[in-house]
Amino acid sequence: MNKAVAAILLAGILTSALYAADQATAPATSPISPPATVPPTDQTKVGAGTGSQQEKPDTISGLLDSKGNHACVGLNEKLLVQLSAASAKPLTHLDATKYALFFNGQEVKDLPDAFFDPKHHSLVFVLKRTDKNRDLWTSLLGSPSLSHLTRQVTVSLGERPTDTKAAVQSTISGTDGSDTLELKVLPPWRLGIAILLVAGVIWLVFARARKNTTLRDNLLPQIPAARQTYSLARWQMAFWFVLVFCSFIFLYIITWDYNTISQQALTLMGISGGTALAAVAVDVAKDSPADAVDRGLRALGFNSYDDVVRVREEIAARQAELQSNPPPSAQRIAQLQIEIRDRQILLRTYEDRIRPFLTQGWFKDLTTDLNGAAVHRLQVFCWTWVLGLVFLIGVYRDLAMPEFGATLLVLMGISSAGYVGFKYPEKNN
Amino acid sequence: MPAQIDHVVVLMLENRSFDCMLGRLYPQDPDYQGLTLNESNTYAGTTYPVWNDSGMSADTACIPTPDPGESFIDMNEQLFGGPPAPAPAPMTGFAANYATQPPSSDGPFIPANVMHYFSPEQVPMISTLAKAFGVCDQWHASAPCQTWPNRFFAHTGTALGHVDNHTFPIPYPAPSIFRRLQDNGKTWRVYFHDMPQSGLLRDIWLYALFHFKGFHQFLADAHTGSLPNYSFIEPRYFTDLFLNNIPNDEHPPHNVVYGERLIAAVYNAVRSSPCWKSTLLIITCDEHGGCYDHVPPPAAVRPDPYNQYGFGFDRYGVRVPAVIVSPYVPPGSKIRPPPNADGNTYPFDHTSIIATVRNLFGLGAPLTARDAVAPDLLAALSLAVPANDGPPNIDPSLIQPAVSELQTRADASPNGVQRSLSAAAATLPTNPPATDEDIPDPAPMPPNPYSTVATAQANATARTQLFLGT
Repeated sequence: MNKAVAAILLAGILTSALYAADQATAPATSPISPPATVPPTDQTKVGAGTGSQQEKPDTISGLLDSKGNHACVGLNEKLLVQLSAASAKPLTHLDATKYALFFNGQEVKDLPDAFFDPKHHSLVFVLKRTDKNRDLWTSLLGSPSLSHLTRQVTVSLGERPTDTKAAVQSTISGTDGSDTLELKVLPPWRLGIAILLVAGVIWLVFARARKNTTLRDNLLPQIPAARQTYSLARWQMAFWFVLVFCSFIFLYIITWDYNTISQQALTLMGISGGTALAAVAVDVAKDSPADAVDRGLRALGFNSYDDVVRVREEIAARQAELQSNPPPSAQRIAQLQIEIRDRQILLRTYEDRIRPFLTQGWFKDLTTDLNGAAVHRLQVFCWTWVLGLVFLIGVYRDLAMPEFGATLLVLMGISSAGYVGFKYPEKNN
Repeated sequence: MPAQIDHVVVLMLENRSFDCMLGRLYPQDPDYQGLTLNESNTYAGTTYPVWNDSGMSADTACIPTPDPGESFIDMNEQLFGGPPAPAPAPMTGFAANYATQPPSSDGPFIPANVMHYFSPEQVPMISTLAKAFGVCDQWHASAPCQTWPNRFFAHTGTALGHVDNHTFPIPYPAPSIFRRLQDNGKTWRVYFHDMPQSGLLRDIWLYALFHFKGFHQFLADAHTGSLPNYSFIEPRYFTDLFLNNIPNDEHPPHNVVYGERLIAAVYNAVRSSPCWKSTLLIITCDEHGGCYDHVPPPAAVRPDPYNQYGFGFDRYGVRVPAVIVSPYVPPGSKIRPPPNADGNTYPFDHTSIIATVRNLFGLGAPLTARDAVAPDLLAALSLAVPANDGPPNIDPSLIQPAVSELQTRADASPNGVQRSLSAAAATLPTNPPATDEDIPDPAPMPPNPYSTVATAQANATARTQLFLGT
């Protein structure tokens, strides 16, 4: 477990470091940087004083990333759009603010102000996701596939009209693929870290649950963890935790946005947490069959599973003595046989009494109680799966945690309340 | 025309005297041998009259607490105030014997406790049935001895000379009424809760597998009209922490309310059964358990030549409650033993059960000289037709044992019958015997190694389950 925790911590540190490195593609040290040392009037705002002499680009001749390589960029990165004019002379001056960026014919609104990079004869756009362009980014990045970590996007530019209320038209495009951008959807290194994080959490929560009581009821301390029954309330809580966690990581590696947890997601986690808490309250509030068995086993000296192990060891020790050479005296043999038999009877009682409280497998534990199939449990189980799937599909497709309606949340609440309500008499049967 | 009885059901509870349970059933009736409230014992200069603790709190229902002495020596002290003397016993030593018991974790031995009696309102189930049908005020335990001698008397007509539980050989070798029924083609079953004491009878071990059933089976058999000819019901002797079950045997200091509930369950099952019109139900206790009774036990016929401590079982034990239920019994009957063919009148005792079953089903010769003279109950079935249907049902208290009560009982030291049962359980075979060769010869019981009721219970029930293959 320590290794897993260390791996997750390491992954977290790596994420932070890489994000910092990503942000450290600072303009001052980058091949492409805002014209801090060049007076705006000379370059970026070239047209301001010499508008009549400014060249007008009419073609996109290439797309570059911030390092000047052929463009394969993603969100929060710089996209250099190389332009050329009809004169075939390299552009040296351009008023970047006049131009709007288009992806697949749709304007990418609300981007930070572009600037002109005279070295690469390019307009430089920083690709940012904001509320105003969220839908466009969702259409570009949503429903990603592991087999295609990038998507081809056709880039074009439009010149802003003087009338600011008029729509911008895409007028400048490229030829022969010069305007085709490889848009990063799932950057491999981010994907790797995300998989590591998600796998670590799933392992911590679900895989380890096979051998400890993370997701189990722990009704009787005399039963080893791996034989305890699975708890519906704990499973539900873990289900929503893992779902929201994975969704958060998924959205973060694609959008670099950490404000993605919706109120509804919090509500669902609250309902599942409240259900688990109420279930525990019911468990401790009322004397139950498990409590009775616990008292009975304690009266026989079985306070924990260690005592069961001890009795088994005592039997083994006596059996070994019976087999020893030279053999014990007849009187000792008779005594050993009595002691072995007494302990075997104790263990038989132990096994008989704990049997109703042993796991019968994950699904059966979650959907049945001591009386057999329980519809109130099945209801919670089914609705949790349905809402979980709807949640996942929403995150995958829309790159946002779904905004469930109040009705669905109330439904989940009713299911959980019903489960807790039925749990009370369930404990007394 | 004799009563048409096809089913005899016996419920034998534990350790309560007649006066303790039914002494005030008919307080105004001089013909009824109950308490006049003038009875008393004296100890250390203090007189302890019989008394009643009004109400029915849990403490009241557990009087006497702690458990009185019930060994053969204790009983002689209770009856005679010392060693046995010529009859009649003065019945003056109950308070003194109780006050001089060894210390108990259940509390001090206050002499007045054994002089306590329950009013009919406090034990409404047995009282209702006693009035609605018949009560025997001359039913004695078969011997002034512990549980096992008296229960074996009920099954075999003898204790083979053993006066205390722990000296019996297991399996117990005397021929039983069960085997007699079996050999005569009659049906029988023992219905038990945790461990059947009658399961120690050697001559029915071959039949144990199919004839020993849980009490729930009695309810089912009654409901379906498939009661056997003879049913013997044993109460729960042990506290079962696992199932929150507390003894319903009425053995002091166990709460009598749970025994009352068992009585009601048995009666209601029989009364609503298709077998009702042809059923005789006998409710009694095995012995008085140290609780006061004012009637001296009379002399008895020795069942056989065996004796112990010089006692040849020629004296009955103290009176115990006995209620006879049948639609052939007139309401309000006070059932008295008829004169025997030899001209003598013997009181009812547990061998009257054997005599009744034997005479009713034509089972042949007596098992011992004791049941040969025992009066049967057939004369009590005096109605020409089964016209007395009694109450359609009786409703017992539904109180449940508190966790603290269960825990207290489970942590307590085992009483006499619990100790003996758990010790005897250790000698039971681990599988139902299939042939005579599988049945071991009788051997002395090992000492009881269990210091608490909980451990004794776990041992007794687990070994019983193995033995009976359940």
